[in-house]
This record gives sequence, C-alpha cells and structure tokens, in this order.
Amino acid sequence: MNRRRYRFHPGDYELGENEKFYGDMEAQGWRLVSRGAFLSRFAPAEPSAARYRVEVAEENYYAYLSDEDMDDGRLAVFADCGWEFVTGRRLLRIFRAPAGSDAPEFYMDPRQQAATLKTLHRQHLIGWIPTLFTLLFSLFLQSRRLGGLAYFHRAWVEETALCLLLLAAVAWLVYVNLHAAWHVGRVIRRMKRGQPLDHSPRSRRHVHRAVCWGLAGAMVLCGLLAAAQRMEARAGELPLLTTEPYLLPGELGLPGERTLKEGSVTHSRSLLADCWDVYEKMSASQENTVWIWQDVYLLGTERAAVSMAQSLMGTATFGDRGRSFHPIDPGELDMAWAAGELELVAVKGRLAAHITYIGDGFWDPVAICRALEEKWAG
Amino acid sequence: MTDQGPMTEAMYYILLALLRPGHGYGMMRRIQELSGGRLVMGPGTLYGVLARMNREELIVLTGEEGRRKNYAITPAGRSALLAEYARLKRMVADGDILEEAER
Repeated sequence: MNRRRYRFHPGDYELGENEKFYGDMEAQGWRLVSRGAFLSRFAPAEPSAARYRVEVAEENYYAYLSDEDMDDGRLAVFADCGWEFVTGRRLLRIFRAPAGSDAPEFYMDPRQQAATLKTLHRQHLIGWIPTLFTLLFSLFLQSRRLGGLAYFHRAWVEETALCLLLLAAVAWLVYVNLHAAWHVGRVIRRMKRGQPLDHSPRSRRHVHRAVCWGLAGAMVLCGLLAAAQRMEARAGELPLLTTEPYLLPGELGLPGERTLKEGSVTHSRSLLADCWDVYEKMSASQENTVWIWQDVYLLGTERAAVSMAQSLMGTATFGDRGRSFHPIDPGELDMAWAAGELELVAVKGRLAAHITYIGDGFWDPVAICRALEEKWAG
Repeated sequence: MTDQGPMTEAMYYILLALLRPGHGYGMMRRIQELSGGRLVMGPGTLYGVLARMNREELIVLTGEEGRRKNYAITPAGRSALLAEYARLKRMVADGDILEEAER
C-alpha cells in the first residue's frame, strides 16, 4: 500500500526547526520524501534517530528552483561525507544522515555558515516588495482610471469579503517576511559571534504562530465568504413585475417594445450591502433604441447610503468623477443628483441608486425620481 | 591573486591538501591527516571555500570522476600559499621572544 502523509512544515527561515521537525517525523516512522511550499510529504519507514540538516543556497535564487540544477559536485562531497540529499525547494536543500553515522557537521565555524544565510535574509527582507508594489500599483492604476477613492469604496461595499481577503493576504505577506528577516538576522548575528545553529530548538514562539494562524484563518474565512457571495449571486432576465428596488422600464414611463433577451438583473449580497445590477436595452421606435443601466444598493445604514451615493457619482461613467452632477429636487427622496442627460443618483433611507440612460427624447430625471419614490415607498 | 590578506585556516589547509590534486572528500580526509586530526572540515565549509577559491583562480577544476569533481592548485594558488606560509613562519619567529621570556 502506497501510504503517504502530508504535514505543514516550519518556514524556510526556521532552519533548526525544520531539522528537528524532520528528525521527529522519522523517529515516528515517517521519512521525508519532498518539500512543497507549505507541506512536506512523508513515506512510512522504520522509526529511527536520523539527523537532518538544512543547507541554504548562497547563489542566485533562481538557479535552485529545480533539483536538476543542483550542483553535482557539491552533492558528491556531501554524499561522500555520509549526507544523503533528500529534497530541495527554493533556497533550501535538505540532507539526512542515518542514525549512528559519523557524518560531520556542515560547518566547522558558525561564522562561515552565517555567510550562507545572507541570500535567505535578503529574500525575506526585500524579496516580497516587488510583489506588493506590483499589486498596489495595478490597484492604483485601476482606481485612477475608474474613479480614485470612490472606486475603492464601491469595491469595498460590493466585494467586502474579497477586499478583506486581499488585505489579510497583504498583511500576511508583509508580516511573515519581515518576521522571517528578523529571525534570520538574529541567527546570523549569533553565528557571527561564534554561536552555532541550534539543531533542535524548543518552540517558544507562540505569539508568532498565533498571528500566522490568525491571518491564515482570516484568509480562509474571507475566501469562503467571497466564494459564497459568488455562488449566491443570482443572474437572470428582467421580470415583467418586481418588488425589488430597481425600476422596470414601464415604471419609468418609457414607451417602447421590451426586448427581454437583452435585459438582465444580477442580485448579489456582500457583507455590507445587497446589490442589484440591472441592464436593459429596449426599442422605443424603429429608429430609436434606449439603454438603461441601474446599480441599486440596500446598505446597512442611511449614512452608508449617502456615502455610497457620493462614490456612485465619483465612478459614474459620464459624470466626470462627480463634477458633472448637480442636485435636483428630490421630492420624497432624501437626495438626488443628475448629470447631463445621462445619469442620475438618488438616495432614500438605506437605499442608493445610480441610473444611466442612453437614448433620445425620454430623459426626465424628475420623473425617474418620482418612479423611485413610488418604488421605494415601502 | 597573491595580494590578499591573511588566509582563513580552511583556505590554508585546502591549498595545502591540493598540492596533491583530488576531489572534495579526498581533500577532507587529507586535511584531517595533515592537521593530525585537529581539523575536521565539514562539507559546507569545504564547498564554500572551494567555490570562492575557484572564482579567485587559486584552484582549478581538472576533471570529473562520476559526480565527483577534481581540483588542483594553480600557480597563483601556490604563490598565495607560499606567501601565507612565509607570513606564518615570520609570526612564529616573532613569537620566539615568548619562549625567551618564559625561561
């Protein structure tokens, strides 16, 4: 029977912890086979007191992405000394010596080993910055294109769980790497003082582990919530009648023949709001076609609805980032703004709506406000 | 490459061992032999120093036996070794006053 076992291993920067972890697993009858990003794979073996040692590549990080790139000459020296190469991943190469073997330690002077840890230290200190920079820069460009801070606010309301997942991932990336850099830096300083690596450290870093598991748990939770939101989202054709808070063309007082094949409504629920995304294209006459888009939100508080209205104006397609909007008579609504003959934003209570209209001849923002009043009256 | 400062103990013994060309493990055994068992060099230390001396052209790769790589000392390496040996001898000679003071 080809049994195997997977276990989460200590981070790349925890050299002594990794050595102890693999030695403990072998003592329990599980021999290391391979090491992945977070999990190590083990195969059953006779329990034994094998020694494991971790060697860190000093050279170019990318030269060690695969085992085939390992330097044969170096492996031969280790093998001749009694160290069997087990597996490697990224900067780490893991060797094993059987119980009772007289295989010498890798370094006769801790100061020499300290020099080998510089690449690992640098990787954790600055290696993550390009990833974070690329992410933030792409978000920045996206927000510049779509409405600045208002874009982020809309994304936060519509995709709260996904935004929290992103924030947790960034926090995890920064925390784990900076902690690793601090840890490796401390090991290097100790080695430079002549103190050898502790090959079987006692785990005392409960706070660090709690932070890591907390962030990982937050990421999993947010990922599940985001997936649930996606799965729960309902998309379908526009109904002929509805009690939901968006307007149907008939309620807008628009004449014309409904072309249902080109109308759709998507309802989704984030942690902060219920969102309806409505689109319809209809023929008002043979020469005249009208397009209507509606984004309607039911938020948690009235204040959130007003704030959302500001962001809807800031991200409006034709509203020049809100500058083209001007207040109009809201009637029974709390507030309403219109931009040109294309867009309208309205708020009442916890509801906020953004309606975009393209077509000739029917634009009447006051009439739309009255239709919304009627619709939202309940 | 003869203008370098004092050599590390590992470099000195590796160059000494390579007066007779050989592979890594052979060098480790020879170093133990040359130092009367005092110095047991680990493979990490050995390979790190070999890579550095190879870059500095103090040693040269001469061939391979299977996975093992054979190295030999270069004329520059021999000069550096002789210079280090002379420096150590001078240091030992300078230390003679210690023996006189002890008498």
